[in-house]
Amino acid sequence: MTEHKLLTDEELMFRFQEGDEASYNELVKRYKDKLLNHIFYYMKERESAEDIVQDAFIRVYLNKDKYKEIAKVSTWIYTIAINLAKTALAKASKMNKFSITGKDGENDFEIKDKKTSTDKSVIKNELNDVIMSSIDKLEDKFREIVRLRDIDEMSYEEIAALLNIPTGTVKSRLNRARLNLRDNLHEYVKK
Amino acid sequence: MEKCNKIEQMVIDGTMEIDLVSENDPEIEKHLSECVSCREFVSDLKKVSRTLRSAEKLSVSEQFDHELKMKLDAVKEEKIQKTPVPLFNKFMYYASGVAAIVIAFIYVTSTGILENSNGQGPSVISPVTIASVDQADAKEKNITDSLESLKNNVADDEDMRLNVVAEEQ
Repeated sequence: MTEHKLLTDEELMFRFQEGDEASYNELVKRYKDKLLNHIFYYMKERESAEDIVQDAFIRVYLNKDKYKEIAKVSTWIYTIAINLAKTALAKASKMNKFSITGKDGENDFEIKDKKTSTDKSVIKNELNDVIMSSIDKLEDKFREIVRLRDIDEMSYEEIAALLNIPTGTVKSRLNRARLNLRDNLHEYVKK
Repeated sequence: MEKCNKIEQMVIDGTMEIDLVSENDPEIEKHLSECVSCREFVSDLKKVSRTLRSAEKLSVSEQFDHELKMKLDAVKEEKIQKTPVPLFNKFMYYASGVAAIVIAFIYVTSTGILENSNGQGPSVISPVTIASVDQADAKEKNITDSLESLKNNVADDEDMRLNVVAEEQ
């Protein structure tokens, strides 16, 4: 397994295609948290986000032979997960049309997790909420890029491949998004 | 004093990476060292980026790996069940079926079950068939008798003709 840690995603994928399941496990290890963070922003619910991530890894397992080295593994895995999340949201949106209770009322009876009680973590939770709501206020084309770059820490090239846009456009949109966020996060940015 | 937006314009156009701004060309670095507003602008955007990156990251739950393994096992099991039979095995499967039918046919025909007394193919034994066979036998007997009596009559006629011929001579 130590040996697998030294391999690139593409090398791991190639080994997995040859039948090495340990390579698949290493890919799962590398991407499970990253994908969860990204998909969480779509689903807004941890449990369904985890389900989507698991389903994405199952798709990777089943379709390993369809992966071609023309794209980066990260781009391929993210595309699978994002498509699954969008499909799930579209289904949920259809279901909600027939639901008696509205989406706003769904979490009314939820007890907030207060595991972290120190002042520092309270501030951190507050900051997370502000960051999330500020990102949510952005236009779609800016929101996605900020998440991918600043939350998921993907490279410009990976984002460009994933969104199928030029790298220059990625940089331009990212900076515009950051300019918008500067105003919303003003109080926290200056700290 | 008018605010300088040289860097801001480059950033918005996407011709500059704010994360790597200090590593860009020396001309930019020189401008930043002289222009307060551009320096503040770059500093603000870097802070935004840092703030976003400082957001608490989620980690998958403890059950994640176990649940994924369970789902994978279920999928693998399903895949095995759906795996098509290889061509050779499929051929063997059908060939053995055909061989069984041929052996059964040979056995049945060798016992003569399928042939009736005139050897004219299969028949089914039932009360109606037995009655038909009896009727056919009776009919055949009648025909034989008729032929016998006709034969006798012809012989008698020949005798009579010979007697007539002898008397005339």
